[in-house]
Amino acid sequence: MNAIAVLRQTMWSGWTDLRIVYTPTTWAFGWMVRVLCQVVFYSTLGSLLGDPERTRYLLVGAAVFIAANETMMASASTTWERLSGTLALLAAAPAGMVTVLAARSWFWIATGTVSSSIALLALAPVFGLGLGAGEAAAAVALVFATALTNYAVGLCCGSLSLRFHRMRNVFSNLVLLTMTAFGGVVVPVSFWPTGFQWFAAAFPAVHGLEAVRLAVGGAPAAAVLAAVGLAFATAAGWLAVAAASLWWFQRDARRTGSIDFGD
Amino acid sequence: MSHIGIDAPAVEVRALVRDFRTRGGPPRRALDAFDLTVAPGEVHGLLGPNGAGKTTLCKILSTILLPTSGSAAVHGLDVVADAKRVRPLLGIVFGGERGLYARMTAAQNLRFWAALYGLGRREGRRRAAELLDRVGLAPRADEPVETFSRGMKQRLHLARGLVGDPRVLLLDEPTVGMDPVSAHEFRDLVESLRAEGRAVLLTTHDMAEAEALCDRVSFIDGGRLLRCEDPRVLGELLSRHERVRAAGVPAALAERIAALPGVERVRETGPGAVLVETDRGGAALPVLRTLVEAGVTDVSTAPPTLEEVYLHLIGERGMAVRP
Amino acid sequence: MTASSPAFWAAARAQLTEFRRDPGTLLTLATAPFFAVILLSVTEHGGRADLAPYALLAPAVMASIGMAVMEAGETIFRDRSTGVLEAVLTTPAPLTAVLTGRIAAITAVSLVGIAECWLVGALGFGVVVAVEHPLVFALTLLATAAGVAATGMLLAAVFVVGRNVRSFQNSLTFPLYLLGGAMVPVAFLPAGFEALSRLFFLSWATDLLRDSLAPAPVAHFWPRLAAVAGLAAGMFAAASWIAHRMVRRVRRTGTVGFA
Repeated sequence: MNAIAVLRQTMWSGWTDLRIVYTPTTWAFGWMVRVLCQVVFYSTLGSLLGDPERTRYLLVGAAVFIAANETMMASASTTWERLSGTLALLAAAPAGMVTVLAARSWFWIATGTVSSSIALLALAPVFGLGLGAGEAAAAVALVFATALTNYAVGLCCGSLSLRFHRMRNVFSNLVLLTMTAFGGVVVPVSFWPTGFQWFAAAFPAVHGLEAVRLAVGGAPAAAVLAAVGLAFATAAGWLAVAAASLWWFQRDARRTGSIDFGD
Repeated sequence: MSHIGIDAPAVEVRALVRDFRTRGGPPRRALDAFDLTVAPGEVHGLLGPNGAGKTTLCKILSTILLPTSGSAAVHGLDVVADAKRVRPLLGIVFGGERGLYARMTAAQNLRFWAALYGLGRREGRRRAAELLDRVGLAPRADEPVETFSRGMKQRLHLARGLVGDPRVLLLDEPTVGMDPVSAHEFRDLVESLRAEGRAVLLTTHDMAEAEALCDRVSFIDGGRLLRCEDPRVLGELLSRHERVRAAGVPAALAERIAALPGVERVRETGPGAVLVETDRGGAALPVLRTLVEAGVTDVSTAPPTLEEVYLHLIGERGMAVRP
Repeated sequence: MTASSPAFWAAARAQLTEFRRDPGTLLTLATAPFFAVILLSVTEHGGRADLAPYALLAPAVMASIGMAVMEAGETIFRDRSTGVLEAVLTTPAPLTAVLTGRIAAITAVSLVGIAECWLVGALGFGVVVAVEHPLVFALTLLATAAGVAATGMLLAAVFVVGRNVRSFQNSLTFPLYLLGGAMVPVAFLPAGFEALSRLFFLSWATDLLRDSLAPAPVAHFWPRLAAVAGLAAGMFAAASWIAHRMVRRVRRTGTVGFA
C-alpha cells in the first residue's frame, strides 16, 4: 500500500469538499465577516470594561481561537463520509478508514490559520495592539501550530460524531466552548479553580494560545517553545485517542453492521 | 363545504399547455393542447411512459403549477382563478417517499395534515386513526416514518391524500416500488373510493394496473392525449400483441414459426434465441405448441411493453408522435 | 373557509416533535450556558459587578436570535428538500400560517435560554440579577420574541429565494449579535455601524431589556418599545411578501421540488 498516494488522494478529496463549503465569495463575505465580527464582539468587551489592556487580551484570545474554531469543524466533515454513503466503501478499502478519515479534513488547518491570522493582524491596529514584523510572523507561525495541534481534538470529536451521528455538531461545539470558557481565552486560566486549570491544560489550543501571548508580549524564545512543546505533546495524546476511537468504531461497526451502504 | 359545481365534471381539462424553460434551449412543452374529462365517481387512468406529462398535469390540477394556456377545472372551479376553493376538494398522492416528516410518527403526520385541511384537533385525531386503520398501518401508527419501508410510506401517503375527505383524488404513480401484496390491497382501496363516489385520476405506466382498476384509460405521450379508451381495449391490445421468448431455437424452426398465422415477426435476440411478436389474440398458443413439440423448453411469454402498445395504437390511427 | 388556526397549531406541534426527536436541533440552547460562563467571567474578573446583568442577558438573547438563524431559517429549505413544501402548497392552509406556527414554536423554546443563563449566574457565580422593572421587561421581551420570530421568517424566506444565500447562514450569528448589541450596547460601535444597527429591532430591544434590569427609571419607554415592535412588524411584512412571491414564482416555474 502506497501511503503517500493514499494521502494525496485523500487530501484532494478534502480539497474538493472545501470547494463545496466555500466559494471565494462566501468565504470572504460570509465566513471572514463572521470571524471579524466574532473577534470584535469579544474585543469590545474590553471597551465596555474601559480597560485597553483587557481589550488587547480579549483580541488575541478571540483571534487565535478562530483557528481552534475552524479545526473543530473536522468533527462535522468527518461525518460527511457517512452522509455521502462512502463510509462503507472506505471501511472495505485496503487503505483502511483510519488514515483516510484522519487526513481528509486537513483543509481546516489551512483555512483556520489563514482566517485566524487575518483577524489578528487586521484588528490589532484597531484595538491598539502594536505588532512588529517579527512578532507578526511569529504569531502567524504559532497560530498554525495551534490549528495543527487542535486538529487532533477535532478528529476525536469526529470519531464520536460517526458513532452518534445526530449529535455531530454538539460535541465539537461544546468542546470548543469549554476550551473558550476555561482555556485562557477571555480571562486567564488562573481565574478558575485548580481542577479547571488542570482540565484546561489537556487542550493543545490552550498552550498554542499561550505561546502566541508570550510571543506577542516579547517573552524569551525558550518560554514560547515550551508552550508549543506542550501543545504538540497534548495533541499527540488526542491523536492517539482519535485513532483508537476510529479503529474501535470500525471494528464495532463490522460486528453490528451499523455502517450501511448509502447510509 | 362549497356545493358549487357538484354536477360539473370532477375534472375538466381543455386545451391545456404547459411549457418549461430550459437552459439555453427552446422551451420544452410538457403538455400540448391536452383535453381530459373525468366524471364524478369515475376512476380514470392516465397511462404513459416517463416524461409523458402525467406529473405536470397532476401538478397543475393540484394548484402548485400554473398552466401556460388552456384551462383546468375541478368540479367547475378553475384551478388558477379559484385555487383556494379547489384545494379542499382535492387529495393528492405524489409517488415516492417525499412529502412526509420523517421524524414524526405516522399518526402525528396525519394529524398535521388533517389540521392543514382545516380539521380541528379532535376531528383530526379521529380521522388519522380511521385512515391508518384503512391503509393497514394502525399497528405502526406510533412509529416514526423514517423506520418505514417504501411500501409503508406509500400507504401513509394514500392516507394523507384522503385526510381532507376529498371529492377528487390525484394519484401520481402510487404503486411504484410497492410490493405485490400492497399493490393488491391498493387496488381494493381504489375500488372502495369509487364506491364512495370519489373521482380518481390515477397515473401509471403499469398497463395491467390500469386495465384492472380504471373505468376509462387515457393514453398520453409527449404531452399529448393519444386516445381515450375503455380499458378493455387495453386488455385486447395486451393479449393480441403477446410475445414469446425462446432459447435454443434452430434456424429452420424459427422459419416455421414465422410462417404461423398471427405471427407478426420473429427477431433473433442472440445465438439461437428468438423473440416472437404476434398481432392476433390467441396467436401465441400455436407458437408455444410448435416450440414445445420441437423439444424447445426454454420458453416464456410476456405482454407487450408500453412502447409497443403505443406503436400499435398510433399505427392504427396513423397518428404521429412528436420526437 | 380557512384552515389558518388549526394549521398554525399543527405546525407548532410538529416543530416541538422535531425538537424532541432530534435533540441536535437544540444545540443553541446547549451553548447558552457556556456563553453565560464566558461573558460573566469577563465582567467578574474585571471587577464590574454592575455589568453582570449585561453578561447574563446577552447569552439568552444570543440563543434566541441564534435559533432564529440556525433553526427557523432552515424551515422552508428543509420542507422543500423533503417534498413537504410541495404538499403544503396543495392544501387549503396558507403557507404563512404553517410557517408562523413552526417559527413561533422555535422562538418560544429559545426563550428557555433566559432561565439557563440566570441559573448559571446564580449557581455558578452566586450572581443573582433582579428584574427592577418587571412590566418593562415583560413587554419588551414579548416584542423581542416577535422580532426574533420575524427574523426567523425573513431568513427562512431569503434562504430559499436567494441563490446561495444559505451558504452565509453559519456566518450570520456573530454579525447579528454585534449589530443587535447583544452584549455591548451599539453605542460603543463606530458611528456608521451604530446607525445601521438602529434599523435592526434587536439593538433597541437589548438596550431596553438592560434598562429594565437596572434600578434607574427607564427613559422614553413607549417610543423605544414602539421602535422594537415597529421594526419587527416591518420585518414580518417583508418576510410574508417574499414568501408570497416565492409561492407565486414556484407556481409559475414549477421548481418547487428542487431549485
